[in-house]
Amino acid sequence: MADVTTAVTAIPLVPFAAFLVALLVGHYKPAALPKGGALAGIAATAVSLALSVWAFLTVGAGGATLSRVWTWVPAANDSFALTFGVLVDPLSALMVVIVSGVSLLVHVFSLGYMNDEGEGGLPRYYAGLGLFTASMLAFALASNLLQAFVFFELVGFCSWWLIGHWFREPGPASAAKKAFLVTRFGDYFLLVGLVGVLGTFGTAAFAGDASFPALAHAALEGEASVNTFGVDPATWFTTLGLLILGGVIGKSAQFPLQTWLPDAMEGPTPVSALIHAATMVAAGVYLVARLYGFYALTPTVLTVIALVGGFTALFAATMALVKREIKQVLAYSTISQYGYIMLGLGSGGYVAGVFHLLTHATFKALLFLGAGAVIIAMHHDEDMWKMGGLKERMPTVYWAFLSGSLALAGIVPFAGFWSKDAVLHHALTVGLGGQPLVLLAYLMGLVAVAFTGFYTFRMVFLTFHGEPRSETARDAGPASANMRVPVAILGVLAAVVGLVNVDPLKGVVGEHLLFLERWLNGPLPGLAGPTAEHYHELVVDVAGFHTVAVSPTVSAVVSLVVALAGVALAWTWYNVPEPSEKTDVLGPTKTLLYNNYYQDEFQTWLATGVVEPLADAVDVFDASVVDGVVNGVSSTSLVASDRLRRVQTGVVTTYTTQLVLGLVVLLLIVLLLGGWF
Amino acid sequence: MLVEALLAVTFVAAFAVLLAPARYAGRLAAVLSLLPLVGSLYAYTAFDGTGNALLGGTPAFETVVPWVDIGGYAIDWHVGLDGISLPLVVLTAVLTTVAVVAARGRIDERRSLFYALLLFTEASLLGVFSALDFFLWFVFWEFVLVPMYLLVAVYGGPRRRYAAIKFFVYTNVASLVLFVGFVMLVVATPVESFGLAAVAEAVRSGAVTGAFGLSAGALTGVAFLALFFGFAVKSAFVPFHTWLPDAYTEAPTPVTVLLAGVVTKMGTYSLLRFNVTMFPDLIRQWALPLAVLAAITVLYGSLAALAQRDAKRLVAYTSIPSMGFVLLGSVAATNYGLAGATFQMVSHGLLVSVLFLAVGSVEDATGTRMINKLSGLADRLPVTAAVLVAGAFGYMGLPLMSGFAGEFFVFTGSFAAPYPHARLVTAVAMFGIVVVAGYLLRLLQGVLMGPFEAPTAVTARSRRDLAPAVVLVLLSIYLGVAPGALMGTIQDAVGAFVALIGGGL
Repeated sequence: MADVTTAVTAIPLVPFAAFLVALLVGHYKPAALPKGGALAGIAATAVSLALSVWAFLTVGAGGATLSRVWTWVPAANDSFALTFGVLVDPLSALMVVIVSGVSLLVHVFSLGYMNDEGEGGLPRYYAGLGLFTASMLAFALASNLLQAFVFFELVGFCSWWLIGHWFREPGPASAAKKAFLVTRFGDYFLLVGLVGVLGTFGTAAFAGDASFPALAHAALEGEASVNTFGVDPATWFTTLGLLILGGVIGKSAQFPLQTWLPDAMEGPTPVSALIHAATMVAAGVYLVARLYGFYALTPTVLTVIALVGGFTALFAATMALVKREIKQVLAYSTISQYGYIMLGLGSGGYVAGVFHLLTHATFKALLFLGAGAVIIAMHHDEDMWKMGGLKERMPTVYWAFLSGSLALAGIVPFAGFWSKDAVLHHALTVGLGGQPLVLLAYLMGLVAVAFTGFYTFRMVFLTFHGEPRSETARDAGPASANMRVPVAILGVLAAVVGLVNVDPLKGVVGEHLLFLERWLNGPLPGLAGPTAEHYHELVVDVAGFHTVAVSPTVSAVVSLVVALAGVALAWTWYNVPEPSEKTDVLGPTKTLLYNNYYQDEFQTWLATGVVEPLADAVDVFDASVVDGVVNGVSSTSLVASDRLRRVQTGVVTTYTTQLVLGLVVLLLIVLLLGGWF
Repeated sequence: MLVEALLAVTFVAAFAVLLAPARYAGRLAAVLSLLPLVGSLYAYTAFDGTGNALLGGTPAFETVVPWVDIGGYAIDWHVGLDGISLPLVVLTAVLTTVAVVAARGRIDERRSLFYALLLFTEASLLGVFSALDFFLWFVFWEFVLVPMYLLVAVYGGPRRRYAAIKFFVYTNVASLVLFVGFVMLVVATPVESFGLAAVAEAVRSGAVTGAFGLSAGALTGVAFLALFFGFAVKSAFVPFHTWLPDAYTEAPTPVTVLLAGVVTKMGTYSLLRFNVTMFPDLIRQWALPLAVLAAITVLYGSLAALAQRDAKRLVAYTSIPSMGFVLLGSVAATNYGLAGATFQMVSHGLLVSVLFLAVGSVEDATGTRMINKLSGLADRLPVTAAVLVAGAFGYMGLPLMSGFAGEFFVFTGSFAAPYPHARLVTAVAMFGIVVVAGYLLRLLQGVLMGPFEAPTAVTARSRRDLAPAVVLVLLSIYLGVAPGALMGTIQDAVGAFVALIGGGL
């Protein structure tokens, strides 16, 4: 399958070439770069998309492969080699299609959002997008945890780069730093977990018989021995799983490390769509899916994932209720939706989690791009209370945005309905099957459904319905074609993509219509391990997550009713000619929600109230105590200090003379003793 | 003969430049510095050594010439390169050329002397990394001190006198202690030479006898500690580090490049050569306290860096945690730990030089290096900005640059180290990667982003000014993508340690 490997390796390399073109031509000969690098990026992502689709079809035809591409460090001294490779299986093939597809649309959209608006620094912008796309694709195709970490960090760097695009303004500059720093805090745990995995198993490979999930399984069964440093294997694997989860929580903006994502909205909106909604934030949960063979062995970690997910889904949804800026609503909604994916994966629903990852990437990229079109029409004013009535002024964007909103709120038959319900149904069956904590996570997720319906349609009504509430909104014109087309394509997808897995109708339509489930189930000829079927066995047999039968249709109807209740409330309050805030019904909670539970204040306090004083104290200690001892010792023991000073104040030649004399004397002694004279 | 040729060419070059007229000195030095550079690159390609030079391996380019005999002890001219010294020899040659080029336009008095001292430093450093006889090694070790002292004391900033004297006294005391410690050890051991391999063999095989009123065990311990102290000062491990921020900050940028890039590596290199190679039992026994010292060095140095407001002093402090990582890897006694420590030395040499060159360029353009006086320089100085970003992210451990590779190897090796609580100590030390991101991101935000602000009109120097820094960034990326280019020979050379100490991985 050498040709598969070559073609798949090209998937990230082509956007990387676009990055180099934008960077180098942009620096040396900007005039020679058409559209500031956009065209190179569009061409590259189109090639990547074509190759990704081809890889997808190849996997469907039984061509899943795992191959080594690059030996980073050769093996020596009974130690292991560190390598990079590609793992092409149903999960990664699906992910590269999502990433390159969204990236292509975002590149096209950027023509309208950046180029047509006369923004500066376009080569820098498109170089960043190219490097991001390349890194994200390489991350998705990674064959081992080290490689995943490498590209996990690189996408973080690109995030810093692109959030800080408008570096003149203090907001983006500070948000870029915060995004990198908070995710770096999570990545620290991931890095400890990674070296732990290498130390334990001697390999970080994801798939195959010698992969670390396979070794861990064998070790738990007592069929293999690995170095758990004297700790009981189950406990040790749980520890490693939790450490790796640190990186996931940071990157996928889960509680308590979600604070960077709303700030990241300071970046250009196409960047928010690509990086901070559809793909990079997905890297965290994708890693959980990628490591599912390992996580399925540790019920404690699974439960933690489910709880973090359920709580984040609810917690972030509450903050979205009161936001004034359209991108802020979407940011909190992104956090909340990744909570659902975590909930699905944590309750053992691998297919459900991946399904929601797919649909969310579609409808959230759509909503961000739609919001971007609105923001351009509003001349970068993001306050929804100044919008209103945009439905008539930009109809294409409105209908597409509505499709995405229905998907987000989980209204049948739009994408989010099917996938969110698959998640909730799975969590419910496992929760009732003897996992009370998962049941708790389910309940939080269910409550969040009502909030989601509410904040989504609050946003739709305030933005598009009613009368314009400002001059800008009154004068808003339709979006340009290069913004309308990507939005329209995603609008159609958001309506239909859920049909790939009509999970709630399982009993009604038969298994053959669950395309995604069959796709992920395998079997994969020649590649053991990374299939949903295998994961399911592990979740049941090793983690002990059993399910009770609950009709998927009943569960779906329950969540649909809950979602509609939220929508209905938003309808009555905000789908009126002159809506008012209505936030007073929340009482004092309102302030709490406006201020995001004061979490930012807490983290700022950690930085400026704890770490900085500590650093200053170390600095003072360094200058007074440590250095003071040194100065004290040197002035008393060597020579009386004033005499030393007299020696010091001499001219250069004095120093030279002293030093050279000293050395000559030393050499003379050696030579004399050695009998050379 | 290659090593002799390298040394001779460099020393002769130093004298030639000293005698040259000031206005040609810079150009001449740049051209002449290419000779050892080409020579060291040739050494890299023609390298045929195997194993560890002190542990029965065959060094490349080895020569042994009996030299003198003192009281029954043979002192030989014994030089050669193995997988540990070769990367440092190349690093020395690369960074010297960088320093010479970077000095153009920055140094405008006593230029002949300046460039001659740079080349003299290079020659001495090459000697330190290639000597395989203690006495020879020590002579070169002391040789480094002379030009370094003068370069700081004569060409440095406002507090140069204080910084230079401090550096000189500090490292001289350290040299004295390690010298006495090593000589005591040799006297108590039935060897007839100062050859490092012979002494190492004798100490390892337990041939040390009691002397100076000390038992054999106590004497070995004293010698171990004396050597460690000497190297700890040179490498600036906490709490022996306070010479470093003063010297780095006061020295002119080209000198700081050599000082931070190579001179501190003398300490960590020698730590591997002496403490780790000669005293495997003691390293095993002392691994935990030394690793704790490494963790303290990392966190203390990082926190102190966080408090700095002067960009150059901030970068100076960043060296301290990096050296802490080298110590962490060195005491781990595992394949990745020891090889990672060596790799990290090279990587740190490249990246810290990039940072100093970038900060120097900012200072040249704006007349200040106080972070709070600068703002929004990104588009006024685009090349400087790009180099600063690359250097800072490389330093933070951005993958596919050498910094990540070096730190990752150290962490991998240290996590699996055989001493007790290795996991915990490693995890604590690793937290340094978060703090380092904190202060370097703040530096980037402060200097490059925000509304444009600088005390004077910003005048960027020519585009070529940062060419050496760009070359170093590319080298760092090359080593980050293909660390195997060095790791092959390094792993070969540390194999004997690993077998000796039995660390695995």
